[in-house]
Amino acid sequence: MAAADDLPGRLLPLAGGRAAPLVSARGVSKHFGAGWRLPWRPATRVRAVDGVDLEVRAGETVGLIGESGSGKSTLGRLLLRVQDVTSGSIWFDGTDITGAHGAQLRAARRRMNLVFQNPYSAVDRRWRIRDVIAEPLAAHGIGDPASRQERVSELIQLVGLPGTFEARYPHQLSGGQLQRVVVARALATGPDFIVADEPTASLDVSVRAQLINLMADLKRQFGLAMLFISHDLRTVSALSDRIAVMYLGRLVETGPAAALTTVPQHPYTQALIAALPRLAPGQRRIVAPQGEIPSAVNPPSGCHYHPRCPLARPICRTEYPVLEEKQPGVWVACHAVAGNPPGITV
Amino acid sequence: MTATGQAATSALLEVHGLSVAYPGNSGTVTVVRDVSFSLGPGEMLGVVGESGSGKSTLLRALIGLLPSGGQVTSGEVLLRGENLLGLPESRMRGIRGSQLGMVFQDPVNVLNPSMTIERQLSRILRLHRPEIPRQRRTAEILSVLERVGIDGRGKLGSHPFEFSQGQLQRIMIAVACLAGRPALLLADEPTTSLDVTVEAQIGELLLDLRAELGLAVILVSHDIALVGQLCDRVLVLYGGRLVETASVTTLLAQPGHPYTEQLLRSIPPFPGTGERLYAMRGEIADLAEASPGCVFAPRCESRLGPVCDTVEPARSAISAGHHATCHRYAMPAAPEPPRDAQPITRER
Repeated sequence: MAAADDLPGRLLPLAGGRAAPLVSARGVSKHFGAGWRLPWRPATRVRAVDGVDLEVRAGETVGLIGESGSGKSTLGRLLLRVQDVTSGSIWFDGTDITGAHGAQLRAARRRMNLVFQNPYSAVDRRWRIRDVIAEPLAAHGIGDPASRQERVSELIQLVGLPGTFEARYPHQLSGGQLQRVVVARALATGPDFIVADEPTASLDVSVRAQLINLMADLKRQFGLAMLFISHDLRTVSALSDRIAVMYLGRLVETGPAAALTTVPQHPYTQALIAALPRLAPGQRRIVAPQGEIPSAVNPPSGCHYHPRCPLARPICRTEYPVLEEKQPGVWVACHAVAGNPPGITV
Repeated sequence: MTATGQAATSALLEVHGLSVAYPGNSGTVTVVRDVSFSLGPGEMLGVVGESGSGKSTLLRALIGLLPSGGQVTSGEVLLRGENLLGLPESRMRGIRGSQLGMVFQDPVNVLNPSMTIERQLSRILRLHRPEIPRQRRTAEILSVLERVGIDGRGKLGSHPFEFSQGQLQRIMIAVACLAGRPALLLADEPTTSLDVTVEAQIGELLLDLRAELGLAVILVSHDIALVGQLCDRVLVLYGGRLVETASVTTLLAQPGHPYTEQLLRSIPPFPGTGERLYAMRGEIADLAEASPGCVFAPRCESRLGPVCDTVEPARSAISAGHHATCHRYAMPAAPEPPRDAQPITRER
């Protein structure tokens, strides 16, 4: 853990993206207890995240997409160690941080941070903006009050807000401005990795693009690695190098953003893209996939998607397809997608 | 199916010069200003706008459900020629449900969480369709639910939390348009709290019901792409003003108002290009800071000059059925004729 004790070094943007992962989840699961635990009733467990492998390389933005209840936010929190895994391990910069605590965990946390969905509930309404942004610095004991103030001014400028906002209170800012403050706070300790959990969901369309551009700039400028969680394919597609699609706690497809959005392989990814309203004049294309995302308490057997899947076969009901590399860089968990070795049957 | 009216036939709903104000810290704030439109039977009209555009307020004013403090300061709302605004509350109650149905954004907040679905629905039937005898209500509820794609058998005794969000929204649509058989359904962001795949299903349901019942729909949404897929005609609101009215095809291909143009450009293309996105500058208009000019002027990229800051533009016709509230159409020597407005050709 020696490396993490140094001041966070800026990582260079990668050539070709072939590098050791900065953050990785290896076979990670998170189960929650559901309902009341009663002595005469077997405990019900929700498998919010169920055996996920995911890597984010330095400087890379991975978009994590899925409907509500798919476990995407939980996965983001597990990577940051905001929540602890039930099984599997979390690696950061070559070190297993699954069980890290004390100084080791604090050192890792200086290098990673979270941007929340709703900026108004992510900041204390009674704090001035400058105190909001300086909080991580104070919490980690970085610098003295004067140098922190200097850093705050720098950060405010970095996210494109006027310096006069420092003395304001959160309610005096619009949603878009406050979300910039939350981004500035996340950058305060100079992290290498950011989890952005639906940061644009609460913003209006005309303001949303400003924030997406800001995040793209910051990522380029600092070589930030980012896990960008969203249910909006357009936003994810604008920002991501790679995209991972999650369904009921499992990854069903990951691949380069361009490949995944133009030639989606998994039937669920195809359904998500088909359901996206288009802006082409005169083109009415509502393609509604069947059914709704089932409850994670009692997920369908085999492939979780089979009750909604147009390609479902008998094997899909009994056996979960593992994530396999069907094309270079494109990993799909589906029995029906070509490239699957035909030998596997029940 | 009823013809999708171009207001040529007698209009189902006509709104003239509707303004709504709320009390603010310093005087009243007009959140809907001088909005006029009409709607034919069986027509699906989209109302698009961002936060603070007045789209929900407009909808609530139509059905007389403004939150406390909200007041209609001028205008009239004619439903089949009858002005709803002067009606006593007792009369309005009869019109809601039987002639005007409404679907809200979040079905969870509308249904009573401690009452079974059957009890809630049979109450509604008792009030709005008293001709159905008590013994037949359960059968009617089942058939109404079936129409919106829910198999109600064995589920009538369930409480709202036992249904998914999408199912609850289907139930609300069933209540709004089948229990009372209205001619006009007002839908306030009915899919905003739903996932994309479920959103598409609800959209299809609305299209089916429109075809089946000849129902007219006003669909309020912040999502111009969704409205573009479902509706015939669109009203675009910004800062409480109606800035553009057009058919969906015209609006997407040749937007007339600079706001609509910039809004369409702000939507990230799909699949993403990796290029920097177009971002509209500035923030959404603050209605409390009234400006004498065009409400969009501070963010407009097609400004004509000082006139935009000082004179409020009037509504001008660009072509038949296409109106925009912008000085570029009112100026005698407009530098840019409307037909040259850059068409959006990109596939999105």
